[in-house]
Amino acid sequence: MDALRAFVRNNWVGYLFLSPWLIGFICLSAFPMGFSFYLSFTQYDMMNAPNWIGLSNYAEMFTADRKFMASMKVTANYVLIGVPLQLSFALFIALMLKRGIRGLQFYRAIYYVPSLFGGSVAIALLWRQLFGGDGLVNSLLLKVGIEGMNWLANPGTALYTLIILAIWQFGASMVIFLAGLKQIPNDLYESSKIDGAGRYRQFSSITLPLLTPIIFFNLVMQVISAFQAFTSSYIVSGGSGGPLNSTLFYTLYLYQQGFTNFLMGYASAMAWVLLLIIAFITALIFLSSGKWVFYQE
Amino acid sequence: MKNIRGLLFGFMALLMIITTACSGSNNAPPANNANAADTSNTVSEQPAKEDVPAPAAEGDAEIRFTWWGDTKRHEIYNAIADLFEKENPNIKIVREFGSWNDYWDKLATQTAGGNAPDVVGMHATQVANYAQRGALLDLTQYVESGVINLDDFPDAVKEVGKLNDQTVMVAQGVTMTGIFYNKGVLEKLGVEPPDFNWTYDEFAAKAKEVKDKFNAKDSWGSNDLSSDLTSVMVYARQKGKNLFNDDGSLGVTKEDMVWWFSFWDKLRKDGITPDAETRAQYATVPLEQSLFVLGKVGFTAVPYNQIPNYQNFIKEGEVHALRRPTDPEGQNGEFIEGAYLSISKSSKHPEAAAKFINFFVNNEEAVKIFKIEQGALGSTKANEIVLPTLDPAQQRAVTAIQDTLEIAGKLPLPPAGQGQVAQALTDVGESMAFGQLTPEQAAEEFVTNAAAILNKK
Repeated sequence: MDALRAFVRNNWVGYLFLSPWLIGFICLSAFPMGFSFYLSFTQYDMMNAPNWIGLSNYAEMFTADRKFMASMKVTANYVLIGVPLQLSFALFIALMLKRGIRGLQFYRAIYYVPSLFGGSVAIALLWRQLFGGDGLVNSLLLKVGIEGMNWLANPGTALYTLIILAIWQFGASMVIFLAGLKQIPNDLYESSKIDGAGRYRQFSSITLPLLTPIIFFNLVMQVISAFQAFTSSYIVSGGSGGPLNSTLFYTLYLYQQGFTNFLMGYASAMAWVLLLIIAFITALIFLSSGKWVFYQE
Repeated sequence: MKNIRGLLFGFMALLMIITTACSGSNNAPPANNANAADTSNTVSEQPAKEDVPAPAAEGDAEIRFTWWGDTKRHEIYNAIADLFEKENPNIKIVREFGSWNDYWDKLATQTAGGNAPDVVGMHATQVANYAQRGALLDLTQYVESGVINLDDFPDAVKEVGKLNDQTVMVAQGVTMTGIFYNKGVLEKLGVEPPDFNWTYDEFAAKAKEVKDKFNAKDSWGSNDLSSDLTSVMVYARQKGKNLFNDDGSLGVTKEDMVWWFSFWDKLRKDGITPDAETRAQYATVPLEQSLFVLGKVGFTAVPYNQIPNYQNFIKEGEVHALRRPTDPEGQNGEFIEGAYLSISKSSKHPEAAAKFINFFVNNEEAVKIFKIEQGALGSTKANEIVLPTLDPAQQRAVTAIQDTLEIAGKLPLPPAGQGQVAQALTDVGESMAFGQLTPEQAAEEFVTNAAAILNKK
């Protein structure tokens, strides 16, 4: 008891100063999370009291719900293909910009612009126009003599249009790469040049290894956000995740279950599964980082 | 000791901040609603209110009214609400509206949060989600006391708004889904318009004729209706069944659905209805970009009340409507649909809300503004008032509705899982279109999935 009293006496001012954040956290994060964890064990239609059903939601997800499996597959593809491509592209542009072209500031800003409104509804709508049956992409293809197809309505290509949309939002990663590239001491390049290293050798032996901490950071951030992708699919597929569930992101299916089908308990369970998946993948990346991330010193 | 007291005080204060901050407030005005501009109407009522010498304080009420629609409909609804406020200066109407999809998402969330608007635009396909879950107020007492006057409503129309003998919604407009065609397009192709009564075979033959005369890769005889829930409901009724039984279970068999999917599968394979990709592309486009408005399909299924909406976007040719294709050995499949008004159970001013609903469906000036926005009006008297003010497209809509009303029946109020069954139908139909399922497999999968969804409730 004395220990508690001492703790309180010594720290209460600190907690008081912390209170704005603390209240926000408890009300806006901790409580909703706890409630959703509870809901995940219930059947809850948002209008009647939740009905405890134990692990049924989780069991159904992994045994009976084929649409859930489809959404897992779509999301996995999106992350596995989209994130590496996006990071490579961001790195490529960052390398271009780093070479000291005139007006670097200007280009850096320009290339960052897509990321600024990348996740927005307007861009997703634009994408719909671009890749539609009579969209810009097809009319360009027609100019070079290729008859296009309906990219968004074809289950084989619809997801890739969304991946391209993700790659197009490379700006945030690019800016971080650019900052990372500037951290690499110039004398390393100079001495390697004296030793006769070509441009490719410089890239593979100096730039890439010294950039791994940045790649690591970007990778974690992009993987987490890719798992939570929602807007592009919601708009481009008109909320359906079609055609043939080929753009049914995990979060889109979660949304459908919760807000369209009134299965808020099931949606909560899905949210927790997603949290575990992201935590697991992030942990894997962290564990593997010892093998491929190099810190100077 | 003194320190401890100060400390306790500090924590108490903190606790109070937390509890008040967490509890939020349910009775705060919905200032965070997207349609802030809309409240300007109500603000402008303020000075008028001061002119009235102290109205009875207990009659003062602020009710929230929500609906779905496009810009044109918002103007109409706003005008009616303004008119009501003018006649009832002690009732203020706060308006919230959005497009069809956003509307239902928002309403679900608001209802879940115990923050549903008082007067809620309701639809026959959605009412189950709310009424079956007890989110709507039983209006019987207001109907009996005459606050909501349904004397001029035909029995069939009153019946549709009932669930377990409780009136849960009042018709703004009744309509049915028929088959639309553009007379101008058919004339240009040299195709004789079909009879109002036609069979599935005649429908298929007509659609084929249109397709052949179009003679173009990107034009078709009819839209693919295999995944259209309303069409399946009509089909089930023609078989003397209902897609959903009274008890909420699935009312059709696999055999029924095999015929259904085979019919549409053949039309698609013959090129009479659009291919899978075209179908997917146009599945979610707005009305003005639909294949029918673009003049690329001959026939499509739409509620009759939308004839004027379609005519708005179609510059060449008149939009006409027919009843659904019939089964010569079967029964009439048509049933009454339409838009309705409900009061949510959480309403704090149900009396004022009921008064507003009555105004909306009965007041002469109000119905003159509303016309047939949502179909033929519920009240026959109101219909007579409105009829002379209609343009030709609107008159065609009313004629089609009245012709079909004679053969249309009442659907059992659908079960809460209806939305999911509709989704299952779309999924299965799409898989069939993309060649992943045969009609037999599609039927099997639909019946299995739908039964699973409905049994869970």
